[in-house]
Amino acid sequence: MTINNFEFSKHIYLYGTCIVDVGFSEAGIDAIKVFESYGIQVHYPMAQSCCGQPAFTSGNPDEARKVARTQLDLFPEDWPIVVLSGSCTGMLRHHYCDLFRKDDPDFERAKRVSEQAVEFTEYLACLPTLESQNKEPVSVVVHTACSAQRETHTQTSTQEILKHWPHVEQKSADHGGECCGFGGSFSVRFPNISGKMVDDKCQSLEATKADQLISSDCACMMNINGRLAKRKSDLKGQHIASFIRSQCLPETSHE
Amino acid sequence: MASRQNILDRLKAGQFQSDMSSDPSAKNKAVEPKSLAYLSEHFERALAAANAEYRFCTTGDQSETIVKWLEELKLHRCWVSEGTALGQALRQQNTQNIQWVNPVDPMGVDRSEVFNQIDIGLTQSHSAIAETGTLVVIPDANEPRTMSLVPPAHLVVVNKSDLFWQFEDWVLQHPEAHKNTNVVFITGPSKTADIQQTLAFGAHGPKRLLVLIVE
Amino acid sequence: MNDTQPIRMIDQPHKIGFRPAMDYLIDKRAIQFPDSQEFKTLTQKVKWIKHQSLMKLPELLEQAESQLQANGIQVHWAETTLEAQQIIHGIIKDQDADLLVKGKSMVSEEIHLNQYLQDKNIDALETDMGEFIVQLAGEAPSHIIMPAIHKSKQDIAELFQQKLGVDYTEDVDELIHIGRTELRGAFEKARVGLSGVNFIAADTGTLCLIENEGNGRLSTTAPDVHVAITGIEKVITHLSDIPTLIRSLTRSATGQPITTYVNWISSPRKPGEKDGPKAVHLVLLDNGRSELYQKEQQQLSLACIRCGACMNHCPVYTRIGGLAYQTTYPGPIGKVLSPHLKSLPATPDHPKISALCGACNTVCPAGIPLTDLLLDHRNSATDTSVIESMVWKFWSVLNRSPRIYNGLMSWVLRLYPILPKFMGGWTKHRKAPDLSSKTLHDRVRHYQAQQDRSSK
Repeated sequence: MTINNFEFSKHIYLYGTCIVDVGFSEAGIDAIKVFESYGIQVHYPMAQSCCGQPAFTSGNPDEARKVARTQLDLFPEDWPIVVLSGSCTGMLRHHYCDLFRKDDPDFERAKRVSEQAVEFTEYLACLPTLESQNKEPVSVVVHTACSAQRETHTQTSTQEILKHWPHVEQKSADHGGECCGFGGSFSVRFPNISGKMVDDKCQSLEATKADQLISSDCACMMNINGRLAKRKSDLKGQHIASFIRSQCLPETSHE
Repeated sequence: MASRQNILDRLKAGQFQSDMSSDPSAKNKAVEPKSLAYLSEHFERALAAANAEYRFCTTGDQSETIVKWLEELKLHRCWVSEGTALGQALRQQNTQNIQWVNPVDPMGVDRSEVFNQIDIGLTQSHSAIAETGTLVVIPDANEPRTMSLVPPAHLVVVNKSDLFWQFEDWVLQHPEAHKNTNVVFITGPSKTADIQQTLAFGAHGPKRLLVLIVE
Repeated sequence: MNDTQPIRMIDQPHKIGFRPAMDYLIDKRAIQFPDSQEFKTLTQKVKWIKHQSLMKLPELLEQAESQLQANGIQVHWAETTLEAQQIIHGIIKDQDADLLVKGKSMVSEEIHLNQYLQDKNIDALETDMGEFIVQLAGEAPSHIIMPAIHKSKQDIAELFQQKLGVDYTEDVDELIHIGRTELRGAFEKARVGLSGVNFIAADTGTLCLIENEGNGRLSTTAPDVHVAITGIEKVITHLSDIPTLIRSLTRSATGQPITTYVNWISSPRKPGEKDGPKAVHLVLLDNGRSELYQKEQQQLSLACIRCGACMNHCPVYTRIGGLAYQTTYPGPIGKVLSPHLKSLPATPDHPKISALCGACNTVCPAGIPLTDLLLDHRNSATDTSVIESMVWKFWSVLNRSPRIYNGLMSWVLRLYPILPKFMGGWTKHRKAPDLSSKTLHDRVRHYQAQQDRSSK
């Protein structure tokens, strides 16, 4: 099965993203384990840091470009670049061509990276159906980052994966598609408005009474988890790779 | 005039760049012409959705139907042209409670009468648009603009045979329409939801729109 | 109004917020567009019409002027707000009038017409119900389609009681009837009426106005003189483009297939006609639009058909309301346009008060890439602090050097648990994040080492 022209490849690159690197690093190992269960060899370029998005969206394209340029060195082979973030995938796929125009010496390399970049669930949905070892009923609510909704459509690929697991009940949150209020520099410049947005989001997620909160986007998760903790909520979000591993490879959940 | 030249000069120094290279309408599939029954059914549904009230009549009983309707609604002073066949026919009717008026200078010396003493304006329509339940009214010397606007109710007569399917069709089939001083497309009575998103009628235009469909 | 002081937006959600009102508008629009592919197709058609017109804007304006004049409509060009104010004042003075009845016109708000006329002892009376309400309250409209959306019916009941001396009532039908009665007298006696224009058809010289209430028709029919004012970007190529534009505009704005009235005005009263204005004027306003036209990318915002869908779907607008923007146009389009109608240094917060969520882009019926334009404004910002510049330079150095990055991050994670967790605005509303104990880089290194050992 192919969606978005991605096919099964014996080798993939894993692009963890800076937020996963420091905030949800276990999800990176979880993703590796899931792909290895397919017999895929996962290559993690050690020199990776950040795709440049934080500088790009706050109006500092020159600094963003400097960092993005170094990321172009990381992927010499034509393998899929599996990214653990919908918004970072959007950055690589749609905005690297804004940073590296036709007259830039790295235009071709950037174009290649933009074509190879694929979000985690987007790629997983291209692979043969993942079977769940766990059959205990569990309810989840999925949060999708705004840019993921509009640029990489991870909500669609997430459905593609979860629909094969009848034991997983999906809850839908009121105004579920609305922004969680992170927006990078927005949450720093306008903390009270951002705070209201994340509080509303937490209220609607809690109201679903879901067991688990999962997402392809850890920047949102960091934002939402921070507010959930302040609200002393039982709910705590994790990257979807961790949830998938817990369902598919439960006996390997200890590193 | 300096401003005009300055504005145009600045515009001519610029260039609007679009990422569109072809007209998306060129891909339009040819729409099959709709039957009168189809148009008529849609028209009625759309009128109701727009809160217009409608009744039917034949060419033969037009005047009677109108008189009956007005009497039911207790509308007594009715503004209708003297120069149209309909206006003349109505004046032939035996009506006790209805006074047919036709102020000669509606926005001049007769302004106060028009604003304060008329219950309903009665006009013909040029045609109608079925998809949205819209009446096309083209005011003229006989039926001035304020007739369908100032009185608190408006009764408009439309021939079923003058139904068009969509606004797009209507415009393409009436390339000279703009030569009229005013063309107004009316869909339902005046309304507003400006107060707490609650729908209310009769904001400034007629509170009731009565549509008489002539079979 | 002091135009040299920058407008600062306040970081404070509105105490009640506008969720119910925005949901009402969102739901009504959604009913009209159940099929997102159909909406995209319609958007492409609208965008094509607007772009084709904008590509030949100067020629189109000249053609429109020529056609309008041939029809007997007088055309005036105003580069600035002041010029527009003076032109309109001149027309009213020529009639010896001291009352102007106004149909809804956001452009007339943009030029602060009411205050200018007030200072010259001319009453500019708003007749659109929402505008009438905010005028009575001494406020600006907070939404481009529903000006009084920030007011509850209790607010309005109190306002009418206070300012009009009527009995207190929260019944909406009664309140509307009070408004109608109050304004009727003005329509009866006014000799000059003002309106906006939704579209000017260049090929026929026709003004197209859409509305639900009828005050627009009244303002442009009952008085002896009708003055219309609109922005230069409102001219379109063909009269036959109008149905497509309206099809999208009314559905996007209020979820209506069409407004109660679509009004085509092509000339003043002709001989033999019994009513209609004896003179019709059109004022074409520039106020920064021709300069905007010269800016690649930003010029795309001239395609706006003023539907308001962007602000209805905006999570920021929903929480702060329109008045918080302090500009004529609020919401996403307001944040994009206001730096052009004023200047970017005058509106430094507007491009920044957005999470760039893109909900606006999705619903814009003219396909304007609003978040791209906000980002472009951010790239042009001139108020970046020294500290902020240094932060990004540091971030850039760090992320360009794998060794420094890896090393520093490993240490940060080791130290983090013992560091105090006050992070300014972030921790005001959230508990500080639980960072991982090890970076992913370190975990992978460890994992790969394990795998190498076990394969030996």
